[in-house]
Amino acid sequence: MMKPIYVVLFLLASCNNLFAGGFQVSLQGSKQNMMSDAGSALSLDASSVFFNPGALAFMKDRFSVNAGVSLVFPNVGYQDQQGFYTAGNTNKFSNPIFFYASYRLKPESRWTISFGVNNPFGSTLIYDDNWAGQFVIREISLKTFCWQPTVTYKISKNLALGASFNYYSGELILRKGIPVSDSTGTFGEAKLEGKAGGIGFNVGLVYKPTDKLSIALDYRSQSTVKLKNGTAEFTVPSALADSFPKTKFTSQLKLPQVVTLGLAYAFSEKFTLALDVNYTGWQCYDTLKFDYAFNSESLEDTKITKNYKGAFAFRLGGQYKFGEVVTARAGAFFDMTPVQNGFLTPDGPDANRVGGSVGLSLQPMKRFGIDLSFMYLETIKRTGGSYESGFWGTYKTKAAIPTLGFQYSF
Amino acid sequence: MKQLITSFLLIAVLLTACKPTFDEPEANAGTADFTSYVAIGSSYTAGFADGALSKEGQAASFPVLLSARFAEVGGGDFNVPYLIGDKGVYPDPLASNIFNTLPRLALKVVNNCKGEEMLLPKRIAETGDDDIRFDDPSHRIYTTGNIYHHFGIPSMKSFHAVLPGYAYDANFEVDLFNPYYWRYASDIFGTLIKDVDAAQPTFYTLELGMSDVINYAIDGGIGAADNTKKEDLTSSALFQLGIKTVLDSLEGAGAKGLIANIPDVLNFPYFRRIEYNDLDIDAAKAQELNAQYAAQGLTFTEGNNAFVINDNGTIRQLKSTEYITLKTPVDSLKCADWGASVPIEDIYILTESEIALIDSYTEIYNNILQQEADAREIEVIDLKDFFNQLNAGITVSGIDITTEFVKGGFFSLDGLHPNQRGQAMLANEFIKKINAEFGATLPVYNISNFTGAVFP
Repeated sequence: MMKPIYVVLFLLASCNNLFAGGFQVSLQGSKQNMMSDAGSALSLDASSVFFNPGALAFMKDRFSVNAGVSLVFPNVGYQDQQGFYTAGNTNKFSNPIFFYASYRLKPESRWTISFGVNNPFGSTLIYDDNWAGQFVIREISLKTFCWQPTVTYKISKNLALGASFNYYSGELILRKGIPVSDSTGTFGEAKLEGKAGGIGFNVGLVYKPTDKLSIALDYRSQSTVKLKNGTAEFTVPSALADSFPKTKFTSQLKLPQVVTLGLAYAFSEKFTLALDVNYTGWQCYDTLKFDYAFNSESLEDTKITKNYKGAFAFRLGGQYKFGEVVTARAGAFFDMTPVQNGFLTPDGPDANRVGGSVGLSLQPMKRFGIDLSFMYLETIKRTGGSYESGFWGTYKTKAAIPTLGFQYSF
Repeated sequence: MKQLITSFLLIAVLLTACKPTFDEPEANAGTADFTSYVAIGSSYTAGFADGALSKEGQAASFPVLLSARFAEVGGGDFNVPYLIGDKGVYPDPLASNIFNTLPRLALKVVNNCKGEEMLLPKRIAETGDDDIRFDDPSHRIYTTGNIYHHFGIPSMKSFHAVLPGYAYDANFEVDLFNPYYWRYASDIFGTLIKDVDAAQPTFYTLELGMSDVINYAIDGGIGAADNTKKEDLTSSALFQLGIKTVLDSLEGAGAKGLIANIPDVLNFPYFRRIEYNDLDIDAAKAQELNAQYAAQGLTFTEGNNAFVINDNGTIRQLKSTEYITLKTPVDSLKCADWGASVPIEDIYILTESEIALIDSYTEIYNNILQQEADAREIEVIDLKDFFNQLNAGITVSGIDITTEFVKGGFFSLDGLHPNQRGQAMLANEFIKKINAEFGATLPVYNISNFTGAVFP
């Protein structure tokens, strides 16, 4: 067989049109990961709770638990307009996790109940406190957890519908410099921290017109995650302390709706290809507003115009079963950015992304499996900025994402 | 299997360390020759800020910033006549002793006359440094053979640069003496442009002419048009003579350079900080003033009213198109009834006719600068346009910068001169122009590294 190193090189060299943008994290299942997160039409494991809950009806195993963690090593590079100044993020990695469990009520039951927890949206970028964009952003860390109790019903032999209730909990940390300084030349800082919650749902339909073909449609609703009791703290020279007191703030973050159309075709028992197309309704993310309980002449509410647009992502993945023990998967994706020209900022310096993935599932024991997945992505170099921030330059992002997953099923 | 997993992990680890890379340009001088750069100008070139010239301000001046960039591409020494003292120095206009000086301003939390705690610009000490005490020749730093490159002289007008004896203290009485230049003039009877010539300039920046108009405005328009006292407006003929002679000398030496034009100085916070109608009174006070000024037909109501002024003997209220300057003692406005029962004196006020004169002279001077530049194919940096943009508000690297006092982040505490961030922004304007006109590639300064107002 092809050694993995060649597989990776092949992917990097030839798959320039591969496909999630914005702050969406599409690393929600280790097997799908290997296929660049295609596979909503497949019943690979309990991670279908996220990708398409309808697919759980076609799971071979009656009981399946699946858990894992990804390590996202993001490297954002920034170069100023002239090119003399370059900078990048300093944070090393973030670690989105996932946990899924599914259980068919009786061996031949039409009903499957399942549960999932994952981090569907998030982003962490930390820059040096004195970097050129310090008054735009020093640190942003957004983490969301989604808790998904799910029910799936097999309508007929080849049609199934699944639905989950989604509860989102989120955590936001945002730090940016304030351009006022004390006599030592130290600039001020605003630090906003808060926890938020919101609800939504996920519905998926899977149809298998033949044994080989499976078609899937999934809809994840928009969710408004409300942050009610955030704390805003300001470090400013003492003479300004009265104008910048510690205050509460409220905010809300709209998590976009996502429609996914998936196709999977089994060319043989060993070889299957899957294609997913996602459309993410990022239009909802038009402004990010922080409403402070206290306002002064110096401290006005913060409003950042985002003006995201809806964006498609295309994902192609394949799997090859070498036998009962080893299954290899690979994939490629092209993920279009929701960030429009004139709204590009270093807190989310997004651009169209291309990436590829490769991985192995090992089943050393009948009930126990290990998934090793590796994804690599790059953004297409993007030059721009936002009029609101007056911060311009060129960005390029590379990210390497190893994922480790475990599965126990019977 | 083991081999498979090992190579998998190896690739994974390698790729995690993969950072984006960019092509970096190389700085170059283009067609410009920075072997000997000289800066000629008035307060802005000098780095005057916070109401005084200080070592700190000199070091932050745009010519010093430019010279650092030039040094990266073959630029030579840039000798700055740094002050010796640390407090800063400005001749005290109110002192009976003409040698007395004031130090720079800094923001301080103080109690005003009403006992309210306020953040106000205050002098950092009773007196300034001795650097410009021209009664004591030991403060002259020039020694034979010294070459200077930084000829930013606070308050220097166009024709001063070519005026013999501008460093001769006997000319003090007629305002044709400048102690800041006296410090490092090679010959107190000579001309400044001759000292410039001694540096054998290859490149220059000329930011000269603002003092010709702004000194008149600062003093409330009490000066005369077409005269040569400090508070007067320079005549167009004299202005042209000054600029022409300076440029002839520079170009004669084979130097190339840039000329800056003059912004609309009336947008500076010094003229805008206090609003024409900041007289905020209650009903009783309004009634009292109505009675007092019945003869003049002035009427007052509860709330905001236009200040009362003494316009050359005419008692009237300030118009919305007129300005009250930052020279006006705030305590007198707040507690001594200035602008209410006590009309504000003309020296603190710019009236419509004075404003019209300032506007027209600014235009005349700018036309002359443009003409003289065109005649020699020299590029003009449009500072007028830059300050108009600043007046509308500029956002740079997440910093909102305007011409507003203190908060605007560009002007220093005197409301007339740039702070360190402002100087860096000016330097960038010059750098951009040099890059465009001389085919140079010089890095602009990162504005977020410079401080605006400094707070206690």
